[in-house]
Amino acid sequence: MSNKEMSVASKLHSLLIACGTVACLAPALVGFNAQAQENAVSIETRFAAEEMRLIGRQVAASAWQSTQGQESTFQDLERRVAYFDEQKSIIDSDKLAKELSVVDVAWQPIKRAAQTLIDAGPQIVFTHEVVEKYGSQMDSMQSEFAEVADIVRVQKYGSVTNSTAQKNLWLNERINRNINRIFAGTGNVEKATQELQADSAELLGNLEALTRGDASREIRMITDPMAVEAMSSAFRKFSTVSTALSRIVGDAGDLREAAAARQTILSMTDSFDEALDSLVAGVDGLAVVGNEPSSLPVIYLVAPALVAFALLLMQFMSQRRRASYIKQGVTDINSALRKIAGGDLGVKVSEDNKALVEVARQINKSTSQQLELIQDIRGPFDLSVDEISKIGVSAKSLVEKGKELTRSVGESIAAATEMVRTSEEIKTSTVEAARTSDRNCQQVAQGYELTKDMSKASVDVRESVQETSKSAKRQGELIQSVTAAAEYIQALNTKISVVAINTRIEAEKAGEYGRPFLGIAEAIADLLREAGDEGRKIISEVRMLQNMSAENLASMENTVGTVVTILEYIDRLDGSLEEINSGSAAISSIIRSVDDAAGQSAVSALHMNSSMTQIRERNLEIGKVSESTVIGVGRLQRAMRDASESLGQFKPVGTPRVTGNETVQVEEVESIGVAPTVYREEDMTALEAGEPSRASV
Amino acid sequence: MSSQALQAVSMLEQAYAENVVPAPALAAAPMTWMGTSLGIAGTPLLVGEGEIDELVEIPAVTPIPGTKPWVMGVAAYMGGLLPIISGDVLFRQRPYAGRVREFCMVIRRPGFYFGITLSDVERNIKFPLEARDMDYPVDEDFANYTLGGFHDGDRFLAILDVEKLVADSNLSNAAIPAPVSNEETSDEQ
Repeated sequence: MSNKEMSVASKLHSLLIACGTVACLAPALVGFNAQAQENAVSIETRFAAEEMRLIGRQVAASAWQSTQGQESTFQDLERRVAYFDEQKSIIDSDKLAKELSVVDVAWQPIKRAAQTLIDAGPQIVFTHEVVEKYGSQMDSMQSEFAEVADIVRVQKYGSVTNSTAQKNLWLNERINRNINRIFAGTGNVEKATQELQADSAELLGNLEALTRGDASREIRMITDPMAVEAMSSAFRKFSTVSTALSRIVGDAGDLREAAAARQTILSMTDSFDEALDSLVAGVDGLAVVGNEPSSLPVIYLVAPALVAFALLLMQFMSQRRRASYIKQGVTDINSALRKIAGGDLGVKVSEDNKALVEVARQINKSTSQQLELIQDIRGPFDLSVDEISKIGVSAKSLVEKGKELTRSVGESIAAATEMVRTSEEIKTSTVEAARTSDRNCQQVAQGYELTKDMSKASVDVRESVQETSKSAKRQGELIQSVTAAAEYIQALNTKISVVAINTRIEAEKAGEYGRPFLGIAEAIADLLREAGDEGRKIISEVRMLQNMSAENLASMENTVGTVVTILEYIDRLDGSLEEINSGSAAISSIIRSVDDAAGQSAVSALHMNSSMTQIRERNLEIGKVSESTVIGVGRLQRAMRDASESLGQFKPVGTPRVTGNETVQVEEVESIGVAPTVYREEDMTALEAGEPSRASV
Repeated sequence: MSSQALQAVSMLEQAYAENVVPAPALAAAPMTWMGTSLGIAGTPLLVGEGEIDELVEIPAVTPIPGTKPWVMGVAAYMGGLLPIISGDVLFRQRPYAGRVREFCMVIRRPGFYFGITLSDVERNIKFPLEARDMDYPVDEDFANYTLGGFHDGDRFLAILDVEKLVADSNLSNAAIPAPVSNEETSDEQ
């Protein structure tokens, strides 16, 4: 069979398979469309039921979210309520009347509560904004009120002012709590409203009194700048509440009703979900009954489709085998050409594909010839590249060493400069030290004079104290003699007293005749009493005087000892000053020698600096020449490398290299396309079953 | 003449009787306690009027062997012998080695004639009798020989009752008790 005949037969075969497929699929398509038209109403109802269940849950979610005070929540709630009613109206089947009535019974209270929530939406949004803003400012306000209270307590503004400042803290706290309670709508809202009004008024009054003072309440005006600033800031923040207070109080009733409505919705959510689940289950039951088709039309639809599918599968498999055989041969040739383009001239193209055997044979022959030519040229180039690389390495190391030398010279110059600067500083410091040393010598001389004066004054003090001590000793002796005289007088008094007593006794013994003596004895006794008292007083005071004299004497002796000690210290100080003076002279001579050495060091460093500068300039010139050498060697090396790489692209055996020519060659090979020979089915089967054989050129 | 004179005298007497101013009533003199203020063994005491025979400087004393420690000895005084008793040892009942006493008071009672050394001699003194305090606590060593006392400023002066002192059996027998003889005991055995 010729190629033309085989092509016509293949086209005819494909045409027959296509016609058969169309004939089989047409009845199936017509039958499916009719069945879809029959089930349209049940799907809509089921969709509506599913939507109602979804919307019911969304309504509950919106009610729960309404506590967050977002305006969009109330808009969503209103839209969902309307959408629920719309979906409910779609379901009008008589079979679902019972489920619908249950849903409606659960829906109506939720709908009314949702409407209440929607009506109270603006109030909730407004109050929530106030609560949020006030709550966010609460910590800073409490801190400011606490700061005011601390300042009032520390600066002692008085107990009433202190208690007023402290009270602001818990007033602010209670206002925040009551606003939150009103917003939540729970608990005793009326009481919270009253407390909120009273607390706000009291807080404002307290701030006014603390700012301006209130004599009637005994509250002093706070003048501390930090406290005034804190109160002003707190007052500004509290304006959030004070400006919205009347509206919050007016909306308290609506907020409470909204909270009740929210609670109603949330409490009825479970029963409402159950009703909606029942409705969805009912709708599902109806949909299953409407979708039962007869078994005969299905058979009519499926059998032709299966026949058409089998025909199409056979056609596809035969075409696929043929194309893959030719594609395998082209792939082998392309792979070999890619390796040749990469320089791998040792590759061999397989010659066992009958459609492409000639092409493969010519490629193998040309690659063998090219390989022989390249191997003859490549050897000398590789040798040159290696030698130039060595020159480049040595030139680079030379440049690096030159740079290192330049850097070392630069560091040496910097060090020499630093040495010069240090020498100058040392010189300056030595001059200052010499000046200071001279001053020290002068001060030591002054101290020496002062010690002489002190020594003289101490000697005078010692002599004066010794004179005073002698005088005090004399005083003590006199006091001693006075004491002895006083004691003697006291003893005489005692004796006189004895005489007086005996006189009285004798007068008593003499009876009436001794009465005059009795009066005399009493008079003597009175005199003796007075004399005795005075005598005792004199003795006591004289003894006190004696003690004081003794203490004064001891104190003077201590003073003399102290003066003697001071004189010793002055002697030691004199010796120390002399040593300091000699040490200062030695330091001055050392400083002068250091100054000379620093000057010489500076001169040497300057000489070294100039020498280093010259070395650096020479080294820089050498570096420039070396860099030029390196650049030249690099260029030569790059040129040799390019030539070597160009030759190196042709490898006898090994890894291929990708070059720019590869794409062109591949494109040329791919442009060969499918072989002109058209094989029959039995030929292809024979080719696939045969042993793979590879021939080389 | 004489009758005229007598008449004139009687008239004068009558005139005086009619115009006489009654003499002022004598106020009752306050009762006072009088005595001597002195000290024995450092304790201030009072000795009542008539209790002391006299106060004398302690004369030279001759010790008497075999007497109690408070008997300092016997001194020759005004042609007789005067036993001298140490007030410090007698009342404190312990040896005394303090300042030498200079004076003693001589007490004379029937069967007693002796001098007691004094630590202090002050003066004659008198107190209102109603001011006597019989309950104020006194130094324990003198408590048995005192009978109340008077407050003088911030101190209390107890009254030494010489009669109690003389009645003390300890004072009436100045001899040391003789030691028990062992010989008699051995003889009896």
